[in-house]
Amino acid sequence: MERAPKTQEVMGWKVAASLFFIATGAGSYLVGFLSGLIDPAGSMMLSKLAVILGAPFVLVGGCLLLCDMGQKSKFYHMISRPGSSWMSRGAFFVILFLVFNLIHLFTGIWPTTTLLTHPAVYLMIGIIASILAVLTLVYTGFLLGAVKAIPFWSSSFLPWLFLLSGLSTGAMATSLAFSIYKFSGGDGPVQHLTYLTRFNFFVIILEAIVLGSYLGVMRSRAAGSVKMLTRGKLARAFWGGVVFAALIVPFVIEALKAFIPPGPALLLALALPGGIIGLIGGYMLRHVVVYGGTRIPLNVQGQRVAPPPEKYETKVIDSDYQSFQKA
Amino acid sequence: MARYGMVIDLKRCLGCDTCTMACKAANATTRGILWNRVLKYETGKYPSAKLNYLPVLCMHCKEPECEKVCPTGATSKREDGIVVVDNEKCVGCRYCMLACVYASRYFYDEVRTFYSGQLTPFEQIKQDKHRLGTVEKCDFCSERVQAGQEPSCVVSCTGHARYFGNLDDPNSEVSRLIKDRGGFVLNPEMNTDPSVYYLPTEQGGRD
Repeated sequence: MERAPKTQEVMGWKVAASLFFIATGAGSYLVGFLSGLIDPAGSMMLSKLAVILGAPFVLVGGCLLLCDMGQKSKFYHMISRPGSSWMSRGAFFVILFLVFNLIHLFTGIWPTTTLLTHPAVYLMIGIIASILAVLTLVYTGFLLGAVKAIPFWSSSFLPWLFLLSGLSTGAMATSLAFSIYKFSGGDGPVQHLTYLTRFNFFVIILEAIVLGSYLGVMRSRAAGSVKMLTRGKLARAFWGGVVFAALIVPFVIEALKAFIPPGPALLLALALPGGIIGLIGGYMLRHVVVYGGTRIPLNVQGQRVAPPPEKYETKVIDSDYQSFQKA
Repeated sequence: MARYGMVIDLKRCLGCDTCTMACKAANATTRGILWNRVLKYETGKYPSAKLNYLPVLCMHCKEPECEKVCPTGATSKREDGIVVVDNEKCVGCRYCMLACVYASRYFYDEVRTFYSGQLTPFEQIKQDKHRLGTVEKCDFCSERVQAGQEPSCVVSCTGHARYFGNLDDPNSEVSRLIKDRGGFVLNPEMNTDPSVYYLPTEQGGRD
């Protein structure tokens, strides 16, 4: 007898982690470039750290995606249909973003800073990379949204949710890196961390609103998935990982940092747990979205039938082989 | 050009899984992968509960979701309506497996043999149809169709529940059966226009 519909088993933790790393990388670049644009002198170190973080995070995410592919040596085929597939478009955005991020890094921060002597070129490269960062952040939402067979993913809220979450994890990764940098004796004013904190504070509020709206809409369209998140096997990951780690803890810490300035040392000290817990929460958000995807049942003239599993478990009894050889 | 399609008479299906094994034998899929399956489901309540059988395979949709999402163009629709996967182009991203409304695509992730690590001579011959790390699925036994034969699941069906033919020809057996017996498709709300039709278990077609 076929069992009740269950979660998809095609995508797993590697995909969830790659979505998280790519979003965090793109988010930190965006945060860094905008910080540098708004306050070039005050936020120089913070901005540099954010831009430096962008490429490795995206590279780790890209490598995880590559590891998940069956034919790794043919990954370049992925960009062959950007006009039709979100997978192809996404690969295109990620590669281009990485190229522009690395141009910014290698010509504006290390080993040369020649880009800074040409403000117009610097601005142009930064704007192009920022647009690509936004596209990198939102494409994952469209990628999942194109899968009509999984109603939980088929939502216009997902690109917004991933955009806001990416900005938040990018800001938290930058804060974390800046705190570690300062604790290890680095230079640079701490005050700018407050601006980043305030920005993240409002991003977290927006993220909570979008997440709430998304789940509210999905309660009727993908009731099984929402139930799995709130009361089912993903409840711990959702309440502990998303609500607590991605929203409540960063919200409280950012509120403390932003509106009750606790002094530079405590400000930096708060950024450490806030950043680590917030980044874990950023991964958990993608984890519950990926694992919460449930396939639509087969519709046999109104009768709902569970779709076939992706793989059948079979056993080979070695005595079968022995008898086969004897025969 | 013909649009090949299949009609499965649910009234005649015995749930014997001969089609499942005939498909496996014809295509030598690895252990754990079955391009054709027979699902079992229950309708009604005791004392009038009924066990039903539903053979499923790739539906060879006219508007295939799998083709739309494929990033490399490995999945394509032939002129005769058969949806095929070019395993030379497939990168194994499995996006098509998610997109398939009928969950009828399978990832060949490892060689799982039946006889302690060895492929049988027949499996070795059929290996060109399979490529490790790619997605595969039913292709209506395209090599048999090209040779003028019917797919192996059709010829092996013990209950004579399966019919294969040209859906575009109004006089073909499949077209007549669909028209006369109220043939229906799975998940019509998804607008994929499948080429596999089912005939209802109750005589007289849809209520």
